[in-house]
Amino acid sequence: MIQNIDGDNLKKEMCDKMDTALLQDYLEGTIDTFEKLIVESHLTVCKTCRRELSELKLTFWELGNRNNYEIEYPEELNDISEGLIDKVLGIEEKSLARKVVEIQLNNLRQSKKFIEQIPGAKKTPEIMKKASKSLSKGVAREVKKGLRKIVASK
Amino acid sequence: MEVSDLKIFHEYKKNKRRGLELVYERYKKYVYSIAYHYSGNKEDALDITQEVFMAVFRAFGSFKEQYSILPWIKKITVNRCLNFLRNRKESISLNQTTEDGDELQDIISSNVTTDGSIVCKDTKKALEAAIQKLPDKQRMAILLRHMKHMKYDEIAETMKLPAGTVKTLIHNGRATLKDNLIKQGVWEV
Repeated sequence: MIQNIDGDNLKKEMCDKMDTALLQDYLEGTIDTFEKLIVESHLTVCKTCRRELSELKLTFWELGNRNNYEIEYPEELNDISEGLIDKVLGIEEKSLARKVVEIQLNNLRQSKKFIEQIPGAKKTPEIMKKASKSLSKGVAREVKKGLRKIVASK
Repeated sequence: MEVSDLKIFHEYKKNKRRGLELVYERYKKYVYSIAYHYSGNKEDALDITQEVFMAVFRAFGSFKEQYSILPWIKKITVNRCLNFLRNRKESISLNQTTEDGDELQDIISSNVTTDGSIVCKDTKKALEAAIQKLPDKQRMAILLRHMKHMKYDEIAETMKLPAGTVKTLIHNGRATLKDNLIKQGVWEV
């Protein structure tokens, strides 16, 4: 029953009293009381089957460990449904280019709405003009001051 | 937010699109997880998920409200998985490489021993690899039993196989997995 690893070859050491299926059922608790007694009494005398049982327990543990089945769900999983539903409901799938154009148009509409909500947004061009004039005056004044200082130091 | 089947049916009556969207939201992860562990890669899992939901959406209108949706979706998923790989097998090449860059033919022919040359990255990967090497039906039966915690008779119904056959598939699958995990040196035994 048990399989020992001997170099590259699997050498079978058989126990003809019991098969692995019965041991699996024993671990799952799906055998009746009589079979259970037989298995347990056999295990007390058979080292090979005890080893097999230990290995099966480990296998059961790994198979039952939820962490071993944890996976990452890809982003694409969220994108499948729309196209499928369109197909099933008989609506032609929109082309990619059309989708991009629609997204851009929507962005523009949203941006326009956003700008309209900014306080004083309508006066923006006027304010920009004034700011630019003041800035240029200020810069010219500072440059003149700088030049005067250079000349005085000489 | 997860909604009940009943809510899905109500929504579907009012608005088909919304109803189908809810079906997808509720069951997409369930279907994808089976497809992923069965096929062993993201691309195939997404293709299978797409096939499953296409079938579900097409037939949803004729599905009777008094039944629950999950067993029906399970059956479709299992069926699509088995068919998907059956069709794919013809075109699989042994020169195909895994995510780690190993060629399939190298993996198949390698002699990995416990004292040996390969130390597994972790048990999870070792188990995934071992499950992938099982024959299709054994793999599906093992996944339904241990990942989805289904009873033998439920698996038999879902896979459309006799209960005895399912039990044998699972027994043999576990025995093969055990040997494979030992070979990969997962446990100090």
